[in-house]
Amino acid sequence: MSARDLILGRLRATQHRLPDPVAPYRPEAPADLGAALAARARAVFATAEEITSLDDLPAAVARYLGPDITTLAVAAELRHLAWSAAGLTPAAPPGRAAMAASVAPVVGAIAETGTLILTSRDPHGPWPNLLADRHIAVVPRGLISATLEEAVARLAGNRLPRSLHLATGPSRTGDIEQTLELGAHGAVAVHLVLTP
Amino acid sequence: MTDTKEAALFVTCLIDLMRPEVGMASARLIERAGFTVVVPRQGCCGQPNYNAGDRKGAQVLARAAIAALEPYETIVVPSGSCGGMMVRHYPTLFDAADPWASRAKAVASRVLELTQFLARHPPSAGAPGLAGKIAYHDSCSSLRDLGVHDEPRALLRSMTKAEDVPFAENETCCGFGGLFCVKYPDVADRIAADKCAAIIASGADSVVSADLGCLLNIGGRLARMGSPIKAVHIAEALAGDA
Amino acid sequence: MTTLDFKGRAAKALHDPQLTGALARAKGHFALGRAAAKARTPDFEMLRDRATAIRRRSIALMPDLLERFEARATAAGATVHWAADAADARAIATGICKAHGATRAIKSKSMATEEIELNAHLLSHGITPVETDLGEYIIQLRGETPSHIIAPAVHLTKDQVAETFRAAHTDLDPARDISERQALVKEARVKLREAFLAADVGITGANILVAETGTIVLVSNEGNIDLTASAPRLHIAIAGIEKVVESWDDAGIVLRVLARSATGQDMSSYVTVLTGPAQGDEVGPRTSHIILLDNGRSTLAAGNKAEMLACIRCGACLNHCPVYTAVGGHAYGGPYSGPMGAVLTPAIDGLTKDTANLPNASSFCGRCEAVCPVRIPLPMLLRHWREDAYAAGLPTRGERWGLGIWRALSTRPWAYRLTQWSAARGLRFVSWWQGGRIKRLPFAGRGFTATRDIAPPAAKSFQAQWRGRR
Repeated sequence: MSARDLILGRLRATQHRLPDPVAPYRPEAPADLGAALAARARAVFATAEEITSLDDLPAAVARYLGPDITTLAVAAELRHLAWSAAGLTPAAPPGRAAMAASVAPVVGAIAETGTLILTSRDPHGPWPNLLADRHIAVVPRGLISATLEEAVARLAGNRLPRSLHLATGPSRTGDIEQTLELGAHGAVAVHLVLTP
Repeated sequence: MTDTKEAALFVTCLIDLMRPEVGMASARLIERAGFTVVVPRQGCCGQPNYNAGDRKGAQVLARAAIAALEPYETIVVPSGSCGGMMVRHYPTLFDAADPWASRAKAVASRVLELTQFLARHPPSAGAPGLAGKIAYHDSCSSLRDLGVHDEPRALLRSMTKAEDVPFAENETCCGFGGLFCVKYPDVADRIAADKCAAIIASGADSVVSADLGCLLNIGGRLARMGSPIKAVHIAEALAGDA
Repeated sequence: MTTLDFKGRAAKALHDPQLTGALARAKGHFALGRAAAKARTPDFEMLRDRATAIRRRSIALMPDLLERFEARATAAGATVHWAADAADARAIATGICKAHGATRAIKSKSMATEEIELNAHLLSHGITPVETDLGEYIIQLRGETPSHIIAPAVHLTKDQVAETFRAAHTDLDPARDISERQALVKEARVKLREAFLAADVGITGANILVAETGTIVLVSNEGNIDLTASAPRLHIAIAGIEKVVESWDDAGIVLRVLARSATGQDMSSYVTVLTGPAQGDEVGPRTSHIILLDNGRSTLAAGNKAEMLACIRCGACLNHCPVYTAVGGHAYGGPYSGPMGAVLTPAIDGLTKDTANLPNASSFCGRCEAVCPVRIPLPMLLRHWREDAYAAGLPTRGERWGLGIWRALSTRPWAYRLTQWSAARGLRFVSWWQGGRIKRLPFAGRGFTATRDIAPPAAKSFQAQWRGRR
């Protein structure tokens, strides 16, 4: 008998009481998803700001990074912006390599928890968050969902991507003496830039 | 409410043997609440056997207790532990097909822990209760099996001049656990030591609880540590005996 | 495996002041975190109720849900394997690695792989596993097992970690300053980044299997799971069969109670959602295998401890357990500790004289059940193990005789009265002999009186006094 048949056979041998299906959780969505997202993200050690035009992004990024970092990985779809005018040198995302800072759009965000969503379907995958010390996430307001469930449904389409990476605040660990330290493996700092 | 208000008092083995005065104080409080106290012939509720995995033995003991208690409308137990055994565990102790199952459920539905009873039936004024600073220790069974939390505190406020002082981790077990402290004394002692340290740090003059097991444990350890803090059962604290 | 039994391991732990300090710190940290999360989440109890029902439904529907999961995961391109026991799972995992020529593995923390002792097996097959969860990495370097299901190195101080890193990272400057936590975290980040990018295979566990989409959901705070699952070309996930839920709506609720109960967060910093391997231009491994692990779970499902399968491994029962916080995780002798471990370990390792200690070493304080996000009646499940142990004759003869004698005496009024009378006499005599307090008792009373002075009982029992009053 295969292990599969053995396991399923054993499980089917016992009848358990079947509780009724559970109502999905649908908390009331905040009126302003963007504001809620930013507030929740700030509560978990991220920073956030909003710009009124994507053209303002290079200046916002330069302000955020300060004078010490002038070269950063910029996602292909943002490379056309006027980076040098803001004093920055845009580089192509280096793939699976470390970077000091990276700016890339996310494919979604969750207002309830202040979460950013990256996906394997993007050419840069999850690396802007996982391999950059500073992750600057461009969040178009239209891509913000109220809840996790809504976000997954929106991104599923015909088939979920290989991976969705739901990142809430910077990477952290409490593994040494239960004391919070940021930047265990993924981004040490996360900055959200909300765009129209 | 019936004309002849009668309450059966089931004092628990530990009170019966170690601190009969707790039983007497409980009886006086029940009388001050306007009830006639009846003390049915009592043995053990079955908890030691039940907790040790001897379900059959627990059933034997429970049947005796059920038979002794089932004539009474109101059953008062000055212990969250034995009370919890009856209220929470008697209903599932017997197989559904066992005729004792329904009798067990009937008894369970009539059992009240002492402070639950007194909260519903406030005693008339009597001797002043315990004074000074007290740390109130919720026994685990009172708190979690019976959901008793506010009752003893309200009674202490209304019947005594004692001041309830907060202490750290007051929802944590004291480490008694019946046979637990016999079988795993070192582990139980560490838990008790932490509990005693928290009580000492609170600045209380006495520690009050509704379970004698906890009190023998905490009080015994405090005494060994040379602490002057007294361990007082809630019945004595309210009745003004302590 | 250790040669000490539970009592020996517990005694050793109790005499380790460093461990005692670490446990005290962790206890406060986790309990406060959960309490704060509960306080700021008005729907917390409602979410617990729903999570409880979801997990019970998952147990009842488990075979159907597993088949659905298998079908959907397979349709997404993953390969699903079934492992009846630990040996099966290990063989499947090493077989996959060998078939792909993988020799360098990175792992995210997985209690299932701890349970099947995968790392030793991988090593014996020429595959080098590197743990990437910081706590798990530390204990791997030290050759230890996790002492907490979500904080594996909870028993260690930063100085011990620094010592461990100095011994392991010999390529680094011996004069470097790693006295602070931040420096330790950074050193591990650099070291493990190399391992991530060099690895052939990533091995993870699974927190949730979502049947409707054939998806694996994992949570972490460090981001190491995302790297483990995405950086290498091959991914293997090992999941207990009980992890399956029906839908995304269910998974969402489980995630909400999990993070709050485990670390007091509203959401874990990283939630990794994996469906099949990478296809087309996608970033990630081209091959994805999922091993569904039984190892005692289907047997557990058939008995009176089936509710244990609802467990979502948050660790709240450990953090609130007076026994766990006194002795730590290693005393439990297996990867799972605290109340959940005391129920699971006998199911996985079998009920023996030693494993029977685990369900017995509980005061039944009930706090585990009170904080469990899915309301598992842990004390009742421990009691069922005690019943099994009692039926198997595992308690000592002294205990069984004592209980039998107590039953016989307590149900006969004259005998009960005589027992109470003679016990009072005996204890009063001892007390008189020992100067007014009971300070030492033999036999069963020895442990209790080792650290306690008990006032003697009154001469007459309550029942005798009551008869006298009337």
